[in-house]
Amino acid sequence: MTTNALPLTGWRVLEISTAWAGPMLGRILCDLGADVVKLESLDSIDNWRGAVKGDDRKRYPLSEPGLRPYNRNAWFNTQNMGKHSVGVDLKSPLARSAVEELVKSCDALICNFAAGALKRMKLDYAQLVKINPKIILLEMVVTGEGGPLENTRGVGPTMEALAGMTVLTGYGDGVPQRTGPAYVDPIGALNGAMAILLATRHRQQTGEGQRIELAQRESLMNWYGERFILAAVDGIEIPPLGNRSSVVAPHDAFQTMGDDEWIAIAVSSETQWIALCEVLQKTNWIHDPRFANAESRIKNSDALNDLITEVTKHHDKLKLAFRLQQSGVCAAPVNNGKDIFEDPHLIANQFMIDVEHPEAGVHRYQGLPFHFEQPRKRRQIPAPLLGQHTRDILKDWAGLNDQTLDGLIDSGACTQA
Amino acid sequence: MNSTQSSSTTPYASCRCVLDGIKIIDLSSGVAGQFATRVLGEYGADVVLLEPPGGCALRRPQAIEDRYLFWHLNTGKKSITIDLDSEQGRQTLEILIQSCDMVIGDSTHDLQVMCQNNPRLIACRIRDFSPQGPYANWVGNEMMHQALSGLMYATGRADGKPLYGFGHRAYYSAGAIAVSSILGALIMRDGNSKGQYLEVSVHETAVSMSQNPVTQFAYNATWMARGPYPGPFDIFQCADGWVSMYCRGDRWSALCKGLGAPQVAEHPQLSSIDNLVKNWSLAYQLLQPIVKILTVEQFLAIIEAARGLASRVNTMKDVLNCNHLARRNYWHTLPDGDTSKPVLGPLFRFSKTPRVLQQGAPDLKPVSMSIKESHDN
Repeated sequence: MTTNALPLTGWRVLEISTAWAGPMLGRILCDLGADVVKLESLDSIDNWRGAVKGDDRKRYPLSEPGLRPYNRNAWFNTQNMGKHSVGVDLKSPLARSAVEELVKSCDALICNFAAGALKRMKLDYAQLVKINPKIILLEMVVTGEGGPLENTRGVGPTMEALAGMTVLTGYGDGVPQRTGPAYVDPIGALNGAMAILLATRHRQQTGEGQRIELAQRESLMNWYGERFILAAVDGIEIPPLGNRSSVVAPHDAFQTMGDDEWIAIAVSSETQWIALCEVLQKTNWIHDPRFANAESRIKNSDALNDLITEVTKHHDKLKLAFRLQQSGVCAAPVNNGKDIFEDPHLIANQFMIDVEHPEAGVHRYQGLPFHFEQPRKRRQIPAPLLGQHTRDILKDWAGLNDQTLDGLIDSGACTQA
Repeated sequence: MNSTQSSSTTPYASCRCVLDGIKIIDLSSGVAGQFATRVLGEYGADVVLLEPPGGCALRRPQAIEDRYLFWHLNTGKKSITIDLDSEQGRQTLEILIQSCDMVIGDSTHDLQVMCQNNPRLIACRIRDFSPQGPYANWVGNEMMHQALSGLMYATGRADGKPLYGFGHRAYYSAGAIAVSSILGALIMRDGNSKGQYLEVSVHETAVSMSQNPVTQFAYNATWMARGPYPGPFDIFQCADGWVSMYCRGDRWSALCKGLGAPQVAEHPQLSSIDNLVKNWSLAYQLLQPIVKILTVEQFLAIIEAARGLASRVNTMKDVLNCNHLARRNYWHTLPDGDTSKPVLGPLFRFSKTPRVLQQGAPDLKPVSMSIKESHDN
């Protein structure tokens, strides 16, 4: 391993994925040093490339899908940074031998297609180990094998409902609320990264590859496992309280200046409560018996929240958050996309990166939170065009010659951007 | 949970694990660090939670919902109690660090100095905010991280305030990032024999998990707001519960037909996918009264027939009683003093890398006993 190597430098990963969980895992593996090749085709397109002819305009540069919308989608182009793309019809018998050569040359294959999809493509573990006995296969599914729900298909919001997460969010009116962005997806990606790294070390120690089943529902449940244990041991299920806390107050979002602008404030001690009153220039609240301690503030939350809003609605959310934090009060602006784009802390830490994409242009992208000690320039390779690296990868990894490649492309089994 | 679900206790306990022989000192007091070391312990690492006199704060949660948080985060670990404000305590920690492979902390311990004293040490510091930049000294909590990440802005009703959710999900996620960072550093150490110092920011973790807000704004100056997803993608109330459902646009007619309301799909404001996206609230108003008289099972069957995707909005009890999880032996129990408590199943299932479940969360020990044990080790 060279001095500037990353944990997975030299590792080759094949990715058969769609939407968020699988692609984000592939992006993480790129960030950890792996060479990741996405196998994809127009007929079985990644949902986050969008419809072939374009769909929701909010995903394209200047809201213009362009001639090849699937190369210009903001969502795809974020979660697939750093990868290569091989355009290949995985169901085509003509492409089978090329795919097998890729399998032979790789270290791992990751997939978040529906349960059973790999088997239908004859790329399930039993098939893969015949081609490459040391391969690591990670399958991200909804519920996992071995029970009545094993064939369950899902998307983020249905998986979260199945896992008991949706019922824990709401305004306290009995109506369950989804997590806005499907949180199960990035959580699945984080779990996938841990699993691949464990399996990588296992292989380095033993020479063995293996199959990993990541049932996204089951891993998600660990993110609030204490609630299941509470229900199992004590039979207690606590309904959502909006943003309120059962032990401290205020703990909520408050309107600030502007349209749909909010600040989150959480007071967890009497010192913080006094500081809040002082920053908001409402020291008379300190002596108000309704707000004398956490218990009474919880009891009088409605009145307290109304009073706080009367003040916060005249303030800028970020400036007020800075003033509160300087006084030791836990507070933060409730950020929309524009706010995160302009977040001064993320910019100061170079968490965001500007990258030029050949068909989308130069734009800012959110980074990933890995910080290894070894000096390196953060990877700034854009997401691939569909089929951008077909020839290169099939030559380098699969050892195909030009004549064979021409045949595959002419037949439509493979595509080159 | 019923009795058949609490069957398995120590799967694979006798097998060799991928992190066998790795010693970890956990100096953390919060969810992220303690979750990270739990995961590493489940794959063979020997984890010692180092607690202050009186025990770490998670042993004494104020909120009922966190009553079993310490148990959930600390199964499989040992615990020692050391007063790091005393000279003897600091010396004991130095001795422990000399012989360990990894240390994780989330407060003021100087992990970088520990790395200098033990070049093979992998040290991971978890912070709310990275130490450079204007938020460096900010106080964080779950709601703050969800507020800054964009998740909160996009969660809730369009006419309601933003919702942060619940629990400690940003911190669990930072714990997962810590695990991957540490495993990455271990793989590097296997090659070059050098440890390293790692940092994990909960803030950065939460932002990296948001649904592409930076790029969407950079591409066209728009952002995701609260409210239902556009199209047939929502939560409906049935006679006996709630259902979260998704149906592709080209299955919209089939769904309406299945509900006995083909006229809804033919409504001029809902008859194309573009219109449906634009006017979803109208569609919801027309369908909800129809759905409300169906049982969850009836509605699920209709969605399935239309080749949509759906699930009941399960309660904790629903999940605990789920036959699928029972068949997969998801739930385990581990002893806790004279009784026992449940433990959740694995994050992922390996065919060849065993997970270890040997003991529940550790009891708190007095300082004197801890000092003796740590010197003996």
